[in-house]
Parts: sequence; C-alpha cells; structure tokens
Amino acid sequence: MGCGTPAAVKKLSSAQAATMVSYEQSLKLYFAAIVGFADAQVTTANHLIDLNTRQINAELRAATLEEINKAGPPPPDRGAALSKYTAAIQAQNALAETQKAKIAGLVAKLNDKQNEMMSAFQEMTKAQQKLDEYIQLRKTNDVILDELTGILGVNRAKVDQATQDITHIATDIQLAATNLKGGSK
Amino acid sequence: MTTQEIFDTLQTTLDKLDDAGIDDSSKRNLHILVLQLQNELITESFNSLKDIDSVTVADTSQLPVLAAGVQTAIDDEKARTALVEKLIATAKVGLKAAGIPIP
Repeated sequence: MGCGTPAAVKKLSSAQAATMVSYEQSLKLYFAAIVGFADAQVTTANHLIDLNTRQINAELRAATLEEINKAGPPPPDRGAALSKYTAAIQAQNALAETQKAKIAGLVAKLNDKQNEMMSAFQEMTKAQQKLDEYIQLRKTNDVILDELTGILGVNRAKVDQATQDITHIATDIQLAATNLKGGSK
Repeated sequence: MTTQEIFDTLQTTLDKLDDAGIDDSSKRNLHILVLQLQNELITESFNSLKDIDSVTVADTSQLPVLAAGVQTAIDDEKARTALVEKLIATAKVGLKAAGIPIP
C-alpha cells in the first residue's frame, strides 16, 4: 500500500503553482511597460516625420514661388509650376503616411507577439494549477492509511516518519553490506 | 556606406553651403534630400521588429486537453475516496454491532 502524496511533493507543487502565478503578474507588468515605451517611440517618430514633411513642403513651396516669380523671357508657366508643386506635396504627404503606417505595423507585431507569449504562459500556469490540484488531493491511499492508523491509535505523521526512518536504515544496511563485500575482496 | 553615413555626409555638405551663404535651388534640393533621408532613418529604426513574428512561442495547445484529463483523474479519485470512506464507515458499523470496539 502506498502512503499517498509525500508532504515535500505537495509543498513543492504548491510553491511552483504560486511562483507561476506571481511570475505571470511580473510578465504582465513588464509587457505593459514595453508597450508604453514602444507607443512613446511611435508618437515621437510620427512627430519627427510630420515635422520633416512640413519642412520639405516649405522648401517645395519656396522653390515654386521662385519659379513663378522668375523674370522672363520666357514668361513663367505659373499653372504648370503650381500643378508640379501640388503633386510633389501630395507625394510627400503620402510617403510620410506610408512611413508612419510601416512603423505602426512593426509595433503591432511586437504587441501581437507579446500577447501570444502572455497567452502561452497563462495556459502553462493553468496547467500547473490543475496538476497541483491533483497533487494536493486527499487520495484513496490517504483515506485508508488515516483510517487504519486511527483504528490502531497511531498518529499518521509518526507512521510517515517511521517509514522514512526504516527506509534510511535499509539504505544504511545496504551500504554497509556493499562496503563489507568490497573490503573482503 | 550605411544610410546613416550617407545622411551625415549630406548634412555636412548642407552645413558647408549654409556657412558659405549659398541659398539657391541646389541647396534647397539637398535640404529636401536630407529631410527625406531623415524620415527614412526614423522608419528604419523600427526594423529590428521586422522578424519578431518568426520568434517561436512554446506550443501550449495540448495543455488544455491534458488538463481536462487530469480533471477526470481528480473526479475519479474523489469518487474512489468517497466510496472507500463509505465502505470503511459501513465496516465500522458492522464491527461495532459485532461488539468489536472501534476508536
């Protein structure tokens, strides 16, 4: 007859499950900090891109004005210069939006990966907790042993201790016997 | 030559034109180029995240199935324990009726 789950196993299992829950909280906070940091970087990057784009557009405007106010001959084609300016500004703004979308896409990948990692860890924690639930369970062997020791009027803890002592003694005897054999050769 | 090095070279050239008091369309074009390159550098600085989706996360898809199996084992064990407790209680009643004292 077995003696149920040893107390040391139950303690380790319980500590392991608690550690995983605690670590899950740490991961959550850590990932939240990374998301906050990445978001701030995106905001700064977008701001800089907008700033640069405004400067580019200002330079394009200055170039257009210079072309329009150019003294002839031939007289400046104002319509063509303005169309060119409008097209250049549109292209510049579109490029800036593409760059900002690329950054947003890359940071979204980071968030997705973190969510994936968090979900995996939550599954691992749940599995560990389920395993712990089984380990902590009062099993049939425990019931039988507790009842028997109760009938005999013996403390269960004392029986467990006696079993451990017997195991140690048996190991010592085995070792001594091995040494004796080794010495007689 | 890296993009950053190209940017630095262009910026130095632009600064030299500024110092020389040159303000013509060539300088303007160079300034536009520097600004466009700067935007490209800003965008590139996020490129380290490009391959993050290829990072493998531990496959946990089997865990819920296996946990359900453990739950069944828990339920079975609880039922078995309840049965044993019932048997022992019945045996105690029988022994008591037979006059055998049970603590």
